[in-house]
Amino acid sequence: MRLLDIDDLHVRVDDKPILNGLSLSMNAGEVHAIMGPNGSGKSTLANVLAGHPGYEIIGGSIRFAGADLDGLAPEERAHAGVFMAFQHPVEIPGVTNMEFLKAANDSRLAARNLEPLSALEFMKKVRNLAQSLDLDSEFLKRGVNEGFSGGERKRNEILQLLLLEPKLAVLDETDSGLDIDALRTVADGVNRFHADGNGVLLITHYQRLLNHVVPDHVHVLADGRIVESGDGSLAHALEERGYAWLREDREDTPPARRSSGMRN
Amino acid sequence: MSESPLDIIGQEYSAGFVTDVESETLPPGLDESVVRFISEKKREPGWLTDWRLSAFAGWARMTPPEWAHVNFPPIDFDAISYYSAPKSLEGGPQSLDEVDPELLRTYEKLGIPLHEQEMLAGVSRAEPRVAVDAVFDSVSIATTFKDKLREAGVIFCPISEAVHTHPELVKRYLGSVVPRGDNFYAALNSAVFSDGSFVYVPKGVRCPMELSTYFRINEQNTGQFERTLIVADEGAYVSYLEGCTAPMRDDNQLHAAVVELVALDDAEIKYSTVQNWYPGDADGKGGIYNFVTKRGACRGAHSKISWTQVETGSAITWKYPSVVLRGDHSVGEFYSVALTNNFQQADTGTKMIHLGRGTKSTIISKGISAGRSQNSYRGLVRTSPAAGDARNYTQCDSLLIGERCGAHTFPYIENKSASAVVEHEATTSKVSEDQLFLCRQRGIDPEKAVSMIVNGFCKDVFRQLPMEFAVEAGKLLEVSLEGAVG
Amino acid sequence: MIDLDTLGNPPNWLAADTIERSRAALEGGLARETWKYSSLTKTLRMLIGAPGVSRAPLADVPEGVSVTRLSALATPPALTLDIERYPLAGITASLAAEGWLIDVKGSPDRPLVLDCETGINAPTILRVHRGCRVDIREPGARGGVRASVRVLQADAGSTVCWAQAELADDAEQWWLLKAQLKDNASLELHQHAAGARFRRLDTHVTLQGTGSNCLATGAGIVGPGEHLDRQQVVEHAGRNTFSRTKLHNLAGGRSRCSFNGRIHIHPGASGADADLSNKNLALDIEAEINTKPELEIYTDDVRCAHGATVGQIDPNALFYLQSRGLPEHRARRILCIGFLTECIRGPLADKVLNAFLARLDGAAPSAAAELPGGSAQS
Repeated sequence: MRLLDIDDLHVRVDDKPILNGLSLSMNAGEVHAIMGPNGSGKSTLANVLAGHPGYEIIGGSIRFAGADLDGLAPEERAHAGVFMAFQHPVEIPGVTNMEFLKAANDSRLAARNLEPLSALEFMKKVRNLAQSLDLDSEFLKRGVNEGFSGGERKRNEILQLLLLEPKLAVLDETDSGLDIDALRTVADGVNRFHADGNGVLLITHYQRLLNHVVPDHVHVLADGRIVESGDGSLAHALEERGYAWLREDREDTPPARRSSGMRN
Repeated sequence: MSESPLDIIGQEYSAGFVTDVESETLPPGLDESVVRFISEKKREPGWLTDWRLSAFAGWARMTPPEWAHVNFPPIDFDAISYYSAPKSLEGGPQSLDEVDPELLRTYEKLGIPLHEQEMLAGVSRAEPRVAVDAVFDSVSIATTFKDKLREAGVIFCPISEAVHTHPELVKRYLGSVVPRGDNFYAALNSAVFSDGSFVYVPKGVRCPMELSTYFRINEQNTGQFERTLIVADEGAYVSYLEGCTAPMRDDNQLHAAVVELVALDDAEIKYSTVQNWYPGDADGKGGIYNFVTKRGACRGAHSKISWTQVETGSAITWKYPSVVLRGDHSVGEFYSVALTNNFQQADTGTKMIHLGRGTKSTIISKGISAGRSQNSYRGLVRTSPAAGDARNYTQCDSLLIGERCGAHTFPYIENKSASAVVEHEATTSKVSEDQLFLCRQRGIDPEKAVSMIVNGFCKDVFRQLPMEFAVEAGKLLEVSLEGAVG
Repeated sequence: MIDLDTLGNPPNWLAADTIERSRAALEGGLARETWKYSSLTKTLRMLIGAPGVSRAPLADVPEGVSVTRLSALATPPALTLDIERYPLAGITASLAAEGWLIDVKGSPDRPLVLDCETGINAPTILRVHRGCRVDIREPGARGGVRASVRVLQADAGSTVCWAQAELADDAEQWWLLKAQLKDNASLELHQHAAGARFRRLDTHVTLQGTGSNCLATGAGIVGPGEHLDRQQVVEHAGRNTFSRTKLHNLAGGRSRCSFNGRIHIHPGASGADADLSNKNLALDIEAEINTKPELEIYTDDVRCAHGATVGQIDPNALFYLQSRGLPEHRARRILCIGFLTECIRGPLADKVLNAFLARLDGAAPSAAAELPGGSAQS
C-alpha cells in the first residue's frame, strides 16, 4: 500500500529555493533513509511534510495515504498520521510533559471521535512507554523539554511517536547528539514502531543509526533534489567516500537524467 | 502557509447577563447629601458619617492620578449613581430564605453557591470548605456559614453589619491601612463605600474554612465602591478569596474598591483574587474601570501577607496590592497574572515597603498581552534605613501575543538600607512559532496550544491559588484568550 | 518655577518655539517623573545663572573632520532635542552663545577630544558620515557649573566609540548625549562618572536604522554627600536592532545614587534584542540607591530583559578571600574594585580606574584603607 507520494516538490523559504523538484514514494511498512550533506534540504523536507508554516510550496504535490496534504494544518496532518521527530525539540516552560502528552493524545482521539483515556489509564500507558525508553518517570512532571539533556529530548520524541501511533514517522536527525546507549534505545523504539507495519522516513547525516534501523531504500539528497537512490549499501558507500563524489558525478550528469527516487 | 482560519469570534463573556430585579437607585451625581444619604441608609453612627464627609471634602480637592500607563476619557463623576440596592433587601441583609429568588438564581448562574446545604452536598467531605459573602451592587445579600464560623470565633459579615455589631473593631482598623485621603479613588471610596466584607480572626485561631466574597455589579450607570477589612489577630490565619463579574454594557462602569488587611504578630493573611469584571467588547466598547486600592499592613513581628491575583477582566485595571512590612521579620508576597486582550489596559503591580528588620518580600508577576491591549507592571520596593537585612526578589515576565499589543515594566527600587538585598529581573518573550509548531505537529489545535503555553507561563502564580480557584483561573485564561491567536 | 522670559529670542539655528515648549515641558508629568530623584528646579536655577561658552568644543581637528558654527550655516542641521522629554536641553541651547557642527567625513587617525568647559557649553551636533569610523573622548575633568548637549548623528554603516569620564567632585553638572543611529551603524558607549555636588547625566540612544546597535557600559562611584543620577534611554525603532547596557554603581556615605534605564521597543521594530543590567553596591548605612529599569514594548517579535540589584559585598566572597589570608578591609577593597572593573571599559578605562581607586577612600573608608599611594592619581 502506497503511504507517501512526493512528486516534483519545489519549496522555498524566505524567497530562497530549498527543494527543487524532489520526488519520492514509499509504501507502508518500509524504512527509507534520506542522507545528504548539510544544507541539502533534509530538514526542509521534514518540515514541509509536517506543514510548518514557514515553508512555501511553489510546485509539486505531496499525497499521504491517498489524500493530498496541501492545505492541511499541521494538527490535521498529525491527525492523519504524520509524525515528525524534531532535530531540536523546543522547550515549553511551565507546561509539564504529562499535560502536553495528554493534550496531544486527547486531540488525536477527539479527531477520530474517540473518548479520551481516563487519567489513570493514560498515566499507566505513558509510564510503561517511559520505562521502555529508559526515561525516569520524574521527567513526566518536568516542563516539556525543559532542562532535558540532548538524549532525553530525543527519547521524549520517540515516546511521543509510540504514544500517538501515527502511520509515518519522519525522524529529523534524531541520531544527532546521542551516545551509543541512547542511540540503541532510540533505534529500538523506532524498530518497534516499524514492526507494527508503519513507515519510517529517516533523515540523517550519518550512517550510524542505519546500523540499528535497517533501511529498505537509501536516497541521497543534494541541492534540493534526490540525486541517487539505492539499497542499504549506498549508505555504506557514502560513509566511506563522503558526499563529494556524488557532486563530481553529478556535474557531468544532464538534468534530464536525474534520478526521481524509487518508484516501486 | 497552511494557517487555519482562527479569527473566530471570542467566546461571549459568560457572566454578562443582567438580573431583572427592582432596585432602589440614587439618581446620578455626588455631593455631600449623597454621602449623608448612604450613611443614613445604613443607619451609621455619627463618627462614621463624619469620617465619610471628611473623605468627601478631601476628594473634592483632589485630581485623578495621571501617571499610569492607561488612556481613557475623563470620568464624569456626576454621571454615576453612588447607591443601588435591590428593593427586596430594604432593611439590610436577611436570612437566605427571604432573599429574592431572582438574586439567588444570579449567583447560581455564576456558579456561586449560596445554599449551605447544597454546598455540603456538593463536596464529599463532611466539613464545608468555603464561606461566601455575596455583594450585589451596593449591598451584601447573603453570607453563608456565619454560625459555623462564629463557633470558631471568626467574624465574617458585611461591613455594614460589623459597624453595628463590632463598632470598636471597625473604628479601630477602618482607614488605618488605607487612610481616607490616600489617593483620589480611595478617598472617593471612603466617602461613598456601600458594602463589602469584614473579617476578624481572633488570637491563635486558624480560620476553619476559606472565606470568599463575590462581587456583582448589576445596575446600569452605577459605581461599585466596596470596602473590605480583614484583621488577623496574633497568631491567626485566614485565607480569603474574591471574585467579581458584571453584565455586558456599552458604557464604562466604575469600580473603586478599597481593601485593608491587618496582620498582627505571627498572623498570616492570604488574599486571592480572580478578577473577571466585564472587559468590554472586541472593539473596546464598554467594560469596567477597575480602580482599586488594596493594601496590607504586617504590623506584627513574623506576620505574613500574601496577595495572589489573576486579572483577566476590566477595560482598565489600576491596582497595586501592597504590603507595609512594619513588623520585624514580616513577609510580603505578591503573585500576579494579568492578561489583557482586545483593547484592555492594565497598569498593575505592587508596593513592598520594608520598615522592619529582616523583612522579606517576593514579587512574581506574569503579564500576558494580546490583541491591541496594553499591559504594564508597576512596582515599588522601598527599604527604609531601619530595615536591616531586608530582602526582596522580583521576577516580572511578559508574554506578547501579536504585534499590536504592548508590554511594559516600570519597577521602582528605592533603597536606604545598607544591609538590604534587592533583586529585580524582567524578561519578555512571545509564544514562539517553534513551540506552537511542536504542539500542532502533535495534533493539538493552535488555540489549545496557546492556552496551554500561557497556562504554563503562569504556573508559578497559579500554584499559589487555592485549588478551586486555580482551576477556574486556568479556564478563565483560556476564555480570555479566545480570538487572540490567528 | 523660574522666570524664563529673560532668555530672549533663541538663535537662528534653534526652533523659534524652543523656550515655549521647554516651559510647557518643565511643568509636565514626564519631567516630574524623570526628575524624581534630582531637583529640576535647582538644576534649572543653576543653569540660568551660569555663563555661556562660545569656544568650539574641539581644539585638535584631524583630517576628514570639519568644525563649523551653526550660525554660519545657511541651512543648519536640525538640532533634534526632544524637548518634551528634555526641557533642559531647550533651555541650555537657548542660553548658549553658539552651536557647533562637527562633521566627520572620513575616519580620523586620532581620537576627537571634546572639551566640556565650566559654564553652558554650546550645543554640538556630531555628524558621522556613511561608513566612517571615529573615536570620541570626553575626559571632562573640570568642575563648577557645567552643562552640555551633544547630538550624535551616525549615518549608515558608521562606527562610533564614545568614551566619557566625569570625575570632578566639585562639579554641578547636567548633560545630555543624544545619539541617532542609521542602518547598521554601531555605537560603543563608555560612560563613567563619579559622584559630585550635583551630577545628572542623560543619555538617549535611538536605534533608527535596520541592524543598528549600541553597546553601553558605565561605572559609577558615589562618596559621602555626593549625588549621581543617570538616565539612560535606548529606543529600538528599526528592525533587527541590538543593544546591551551594563552599569555598576558603588555608593558610600550619606550619598544619593540614582539610575533610570529605559528600553523602548517601537511598533514594527521586530527582531529587537535588548538587555539592560544595573547593579549597585551600598557600602554605607546612609547611602540611598534608587534604580528603575523600565521596559516599554510595542511589538511581540523581541527579546528583551533587564535586571537591577541593590546589595552589599557578598559575604561568601568576602569569607573566601579572608580564608585565603587577606585581611577583611583588603578583601573588601578587592571585591569593590572587581565589581567596578566589570564595567570599566573603553579608551579611558585606566584613567577612570585610577580615579576610582583614589576615591574608594571617600566612599568606603574600610574598603579603601589599603590604597596603594602611587596609583591613586587621576
